[in-house]
Amino acid sequence: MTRWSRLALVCLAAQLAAWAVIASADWPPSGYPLDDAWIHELAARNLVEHGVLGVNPHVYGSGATSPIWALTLSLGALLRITPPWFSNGLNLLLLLLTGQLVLRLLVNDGLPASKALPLAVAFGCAPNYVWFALSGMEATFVSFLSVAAVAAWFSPNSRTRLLAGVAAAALCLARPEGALIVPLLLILRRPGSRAEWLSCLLVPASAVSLNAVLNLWLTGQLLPSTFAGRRWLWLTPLEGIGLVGRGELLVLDWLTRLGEFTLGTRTAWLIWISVGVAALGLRTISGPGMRALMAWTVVWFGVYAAVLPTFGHGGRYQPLVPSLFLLLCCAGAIRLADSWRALVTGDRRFVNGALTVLAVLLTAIGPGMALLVWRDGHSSAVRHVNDTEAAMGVQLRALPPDVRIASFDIGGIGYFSGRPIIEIGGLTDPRVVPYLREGRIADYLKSERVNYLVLPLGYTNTRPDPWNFYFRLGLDQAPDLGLEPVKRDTSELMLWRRGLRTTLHSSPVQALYRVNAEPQAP
Amino acid sequence: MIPRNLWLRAGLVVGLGLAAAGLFRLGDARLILPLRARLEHELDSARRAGHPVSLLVMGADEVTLRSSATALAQSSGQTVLGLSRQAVVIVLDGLDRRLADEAALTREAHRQVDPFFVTDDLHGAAAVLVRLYTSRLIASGILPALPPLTPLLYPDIERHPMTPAESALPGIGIALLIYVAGRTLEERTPTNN
Repeated sequence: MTRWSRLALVCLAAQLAAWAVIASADWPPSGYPLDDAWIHELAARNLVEHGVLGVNPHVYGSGATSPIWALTLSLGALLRITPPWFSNGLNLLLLLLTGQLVLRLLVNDGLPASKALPLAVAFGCAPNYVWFALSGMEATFVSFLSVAAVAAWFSPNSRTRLLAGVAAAALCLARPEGALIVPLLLILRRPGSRAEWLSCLLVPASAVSLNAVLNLWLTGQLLPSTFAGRRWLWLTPLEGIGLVGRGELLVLDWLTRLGEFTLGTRTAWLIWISVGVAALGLRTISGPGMRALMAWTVVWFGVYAAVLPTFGHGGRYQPLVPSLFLLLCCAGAIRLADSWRALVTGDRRFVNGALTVLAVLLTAIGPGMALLVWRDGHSSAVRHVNDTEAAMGVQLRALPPDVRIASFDIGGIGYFSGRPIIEIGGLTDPRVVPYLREGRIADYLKSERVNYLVLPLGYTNTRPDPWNFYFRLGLDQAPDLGLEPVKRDTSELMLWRRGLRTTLHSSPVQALYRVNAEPQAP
Repeated sequence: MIPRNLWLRAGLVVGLGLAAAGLFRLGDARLILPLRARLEHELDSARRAGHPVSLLVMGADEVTLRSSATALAQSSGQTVLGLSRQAVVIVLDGLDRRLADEAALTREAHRQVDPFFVTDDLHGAAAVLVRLYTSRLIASGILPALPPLTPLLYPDIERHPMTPAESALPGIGIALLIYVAGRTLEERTPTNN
């Protein structure tokens, strides 16, 4: 076995172990920890059954943030593999491949194996990042594509460099902001041949153009239909905060999150010390490949800070942040250990080794504890989604086939009801968003002649509960809608909180109402 | 151990300055700027609707907070929502007294805000207090339905530890000092340079 194979195997084993810690909390897997994951499954199933890639079987692209991810999942639907087995298996494979690519990137950057291995393990075993592979979302997929594009572009092999354009093209299709990686790669390294120019520029440009034309043709807009709805959901609580303030909040929220769910500590001072150590680690990451990955992560983060300043469910909007942060912390810790070793022990080999092992162990204790937090959070989140959204979906099957049902959450409810649902969160139809902004969703429900309504609620009916969409949608000011409670599916408080803290999943209650209003003309 | 590099020396001075200044002000009851801006935006909608109101946040006991809030309400002729880490005080102006009873509103404020005191969550307490005030205006039809306020979470079950946001100033100083210390160590060990 070559030295490289041994390194690769150790990295692989560490990642598998980290994944197993979280995955074993819900084994065999019984569902997804996020309702949004069911949205992708629903779109995938609709493609197989109705030939349309969308939550609404009649509207292309509706509801799915990442159509290429939903398209990938449709393979699982075609093979009739029960969710979440296919997406979890695929994401595990992508997680392991990403770890291998980062290891290769570090070695190509000139780092010795003794340093490249712990850094790649830190990247690939960052607890938040490992959880993405069980979230059912596209976060692992886009991380893999990002690392693959960078690793290929900075590869010493000229043929491998041509693959960068393919990875970048797939990234553009997975997330609209992914297109920015192309100019970044071209700025960081000028292509050495015409073939490289073509690969890096033309392939992604063709993919983006094709997708845009397809979107424009089928939906009448360039951006995914989910964008406007997501901006309403995440940005309205930030009204009155300027651009800089929103960016500041995003950074500070991430620091809090990195502390608890990556470093395994809620102590602010330890988090700030880690920031200092990570800054020191930046000096280790001096090769062109890792610098490019770092630059891409910063650009990606900046785009979200400006346009949609939130980390999203479980941090999925900026998935490389926790991994790179832990890698930098590890690099900084190793640098500190090296300095101490040289200063204190000179050339004594045994003490040198012991100090390095100590540095790695100290870096691993916190993330190890964070893995356990994710284990608990993941299983709680899966149970919550199963007990509320999925359970409500099953109950909707029993309603008469001719009634019209609307719902704010659409994933589990749409998937398990197996019937058309009018979505009122602005994910499938951007025409809903003005109603959301103006608090007039009641008018929309009347114009759509809705008979039943499913709403996410909080535990109490008091303001300012942000989980209570009865208030958030302005339905408390629409008594003429005649909402009559029919059924409530509720998660127990502690179970809901455990999942919420890690994944920010959804409201604790799903409530079904009968709508007794007179329908009005649209 | 003073670094030789000029930039690192500057970093040492700045880091020490930030850490000292931040630690000195750590006990203050202050809201971080973006969240303060969010709450002021909410109160602005009340002001635009003809209900002048101020949010007073200070590090003080209940007696001092009450006297400060009353003095401010009398001098400015507006409603004052007073908050410290352990106390909440509401002083209504004449217009708001027509909509709500001051004593009843203060009791309700205690009911909603006290869980945040238990966990030392000043930001959560401030958000609840502001929304308690504006919800009266919403219920009276003076304001339209307003979007939720940050922070989004329910009161924490366990004690709210100091977050990086609340310790940003000294925290950045400490991070800078750690970096300078690490680099200085490397200066002394040529193999790392």
